Amino acid sequence: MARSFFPQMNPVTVKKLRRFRSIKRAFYSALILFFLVILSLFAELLVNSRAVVVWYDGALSFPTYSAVRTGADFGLDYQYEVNYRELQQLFQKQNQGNWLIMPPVPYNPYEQDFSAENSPPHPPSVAKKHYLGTDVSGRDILARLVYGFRIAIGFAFMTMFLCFLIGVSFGSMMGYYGGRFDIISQRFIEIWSMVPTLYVIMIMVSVIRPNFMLFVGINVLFGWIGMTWYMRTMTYREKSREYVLAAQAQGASTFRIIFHHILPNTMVMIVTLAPFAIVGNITQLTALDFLGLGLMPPTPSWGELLQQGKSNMEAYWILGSVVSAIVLVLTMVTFIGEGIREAFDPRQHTRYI
Amino acid sequence: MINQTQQRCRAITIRSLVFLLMLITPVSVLGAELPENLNWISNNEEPLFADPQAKQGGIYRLYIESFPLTMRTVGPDSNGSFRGWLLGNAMSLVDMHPDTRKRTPALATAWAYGDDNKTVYFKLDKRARWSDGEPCTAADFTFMIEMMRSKNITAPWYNDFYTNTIAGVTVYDDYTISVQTVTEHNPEELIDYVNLGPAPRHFYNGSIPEDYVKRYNWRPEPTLGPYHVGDFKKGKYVTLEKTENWWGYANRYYQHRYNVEAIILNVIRDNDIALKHFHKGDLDSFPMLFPSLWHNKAKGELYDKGYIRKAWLFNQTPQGAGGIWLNLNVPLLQDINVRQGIAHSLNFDKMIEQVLMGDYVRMQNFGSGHGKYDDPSIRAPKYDIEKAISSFEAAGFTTLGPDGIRVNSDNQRLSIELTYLTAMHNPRVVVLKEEAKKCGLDIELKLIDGATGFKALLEKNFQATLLSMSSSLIPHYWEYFHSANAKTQTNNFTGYKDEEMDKLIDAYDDEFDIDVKASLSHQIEQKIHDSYTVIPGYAVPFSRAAYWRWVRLPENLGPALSDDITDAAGMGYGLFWIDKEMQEETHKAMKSGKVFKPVTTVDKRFLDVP
Repeated sequence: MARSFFPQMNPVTVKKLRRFRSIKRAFYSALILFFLVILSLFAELLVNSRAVVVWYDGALSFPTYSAVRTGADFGLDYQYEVNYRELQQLFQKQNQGNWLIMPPVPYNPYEQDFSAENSPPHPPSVAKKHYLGTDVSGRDILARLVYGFRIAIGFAFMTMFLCFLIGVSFGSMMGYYGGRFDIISQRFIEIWSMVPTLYVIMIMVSVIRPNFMLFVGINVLFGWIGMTWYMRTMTYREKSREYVLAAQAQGASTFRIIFHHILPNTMVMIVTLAPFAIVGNITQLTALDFLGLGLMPPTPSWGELLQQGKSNMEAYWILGSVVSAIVLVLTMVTFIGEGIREAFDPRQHTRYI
Repeated sequence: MINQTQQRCRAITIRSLVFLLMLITPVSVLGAELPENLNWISNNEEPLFADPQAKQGGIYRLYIESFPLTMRTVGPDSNGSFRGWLLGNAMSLVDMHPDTRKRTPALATAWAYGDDNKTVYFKLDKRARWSDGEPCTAADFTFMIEMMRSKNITAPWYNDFYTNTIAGVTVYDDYTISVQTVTEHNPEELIDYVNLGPAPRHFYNGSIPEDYVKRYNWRPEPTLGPYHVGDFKKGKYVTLEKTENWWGYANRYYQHRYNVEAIILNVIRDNDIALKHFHKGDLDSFPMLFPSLWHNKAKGELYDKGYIRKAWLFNQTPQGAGGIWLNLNVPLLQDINVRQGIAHSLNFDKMIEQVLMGDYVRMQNFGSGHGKYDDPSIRAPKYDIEKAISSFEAAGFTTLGPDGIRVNSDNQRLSIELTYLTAMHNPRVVVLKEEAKKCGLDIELKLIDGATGFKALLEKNFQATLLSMSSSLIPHYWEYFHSANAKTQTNNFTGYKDEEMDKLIDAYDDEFDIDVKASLSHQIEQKIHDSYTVIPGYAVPFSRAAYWRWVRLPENLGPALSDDITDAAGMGYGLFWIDKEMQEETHKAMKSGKVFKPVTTVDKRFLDVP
């Protein structure tokens, strides 16, 4: 069956994937996480203050991804974005055949709900559709968790991708070229890795207050080093094998040899390290946000929720939600990592206790 | 830091030609003649405000967030929050009565104004003793001038102030001095300038050494006030010990005050954890200024059973200018219509109502609590979507973009960047942002922490900022609105430049008649209001705290100028005391489960008085 799924793959890889599938907790974690990531990509349809579909005066519209529609567009007396939750009630009251469908969580992660009598944070309420309550600014926690998850995962993947791109290329080149290039690069990396990463990130962030991409950049600046050592050693070993000599004899370019011939054989390292890099990156972002040195507020963020939770222990729903979310996601990613490591391990009978 | 900058600007005002002359004049002229016919004032009949029931003794435990970097009050690193505790015990010549605002005797028993609008004469209190037992004499005042002018203290602001603002101290005998300023001032301001505190000459052996900054970093000066720094352990705690047989009790205004034997300041780096310590009983009182603290966290069994009490006093302290400052160097903000639109897009009322739980008060003017200097008819622009939109339309932002933000014909978005200085303000600015959206205005939030952020403001490297300045009893306008300061590194954050305003401010600064000065102040306030450059934010005209029931406060909590009823954040009026019997009683009651009546006192006596 696996063969039909992966027709082009080499049988060893297929075998590894099968083995991964047989590790139940890793496999299901991967499924769930994949599902969550896909869902979060469409978060605007599920968690949003804008309606999914609106039927008004004989026309159908989908406001989720369209331009802002003001209250005046719906015959109301204000010029700013229409409040779809109120609009829904109004349509029901008017009973003129207009209708709209709200997402299951009808709040966006920025808007503040001050409708309750006392001031926020408000405890979870099904009636108000604040399923996990609100934070100290009256924003829906579930909405912030979902969007925060998307940002955290996006950050983790992007940082990992860039780190690995640089780390793998550099490491492979060090291993392949050897000699003076290797020696100089090694010394450079040794010096670079001595920089107290967290402090430097904190200082840079507090001075330049970066946006998302710049923030990724700062983290990549210090994150790519770890990978180089592994890749250097692996490449160094592979370099002396016959297939590399054969490729060289046939006149393949260095680039081709490294990325087409050697890389597939060192892939194990990358695949095995990836999930742990993701865990590391999510933790890093959350920690920096917790310290107020992460992304600019009001960006939804788990670290910021954690900080709020810590300062407002009596609002148990804040800390409860965000801690559960972090624990769940990090555990799942770790399970996946473990599963991959085990599946890719050539020694079949090793057991991790 | 903000305070120092303010003072710096004030000092620059007074820079004058007399400077050269002064350098060659000796600091003190012994044997100078005291002019005759001086009208000595001592204000010894003002009402007392301490509670005669106060008992002496007990230990008062508080916390500080970080250990001070030095025990000096001048020089590098000295301008931290711990300085308040040191300065609170470094006495000066006169005090201000916290209800009547008249000057009362402190180190001086009597004072008299000279005819030249520059000199004030003082008779020193012969009973005054430093905490190490040495008497305080005129020599300590001349030494202070010497010290403040010394390059060795590495404090250029003080070097400048005690040269270009304070002309010097003249000694007539050991207990009679006069202090002169360089330029003329009206009596109200003059006494403010000349109200100096001495430095202990004997402690420094008569001179400030070159290595002063290092040598005296951890050697606290003896004090004249009720407490002096006792035992301390770096990074852990500082103890302030009561000076034995403190001389100040001879002064009727100090009686029944400063009652506890020692104040222990433990370092607790996190406010949330400090609160837990307080609830555990490790701290005696806890300031509760923030609404979330007062309303959400200061509740539960300990409060319901009456073990911990709460008190809230609305005071009449002057409030510095606070709110949103718009930078006039930004092209978009040079259009008054845009500024007016922004002023009407800022929903401070909702912020106060929702985030600050209705506790804070909307500021109506450029600062408040300045008495007759404030024009009560000036009201802050209200949040008004229609007015905002019509202003924005007048500025050319006529169409609504796809994201609900207005754009003009050049497709420029109506977007400003709001710089603010502490993460604590997150929930507040978020309200402004969300509400401004309804007017088609996009506010991008930019948090730059503390000192770095303030530096950005001084460099005029911002578009709009949420900032509150500290204030004195007489409002200052020169530093904020005079064109002389429309450059970087000044408090004229908005880059305001206007000839008419310059004239008004110069006239205001030079005016000696208090009523004329007040009317000039009103005109200036009106101009500020009309320019929409500083949109008034909120004021916090109160002090409140939670405290264990053995900490006793006077019946009416405190006088009008009291900004810290339990003295939990710095030396205040010292009106509270510790009742040891109640302490024991409470501990027993907590064990046995005995319950007391819960007490929450709210005092609004001063709330509506302008």
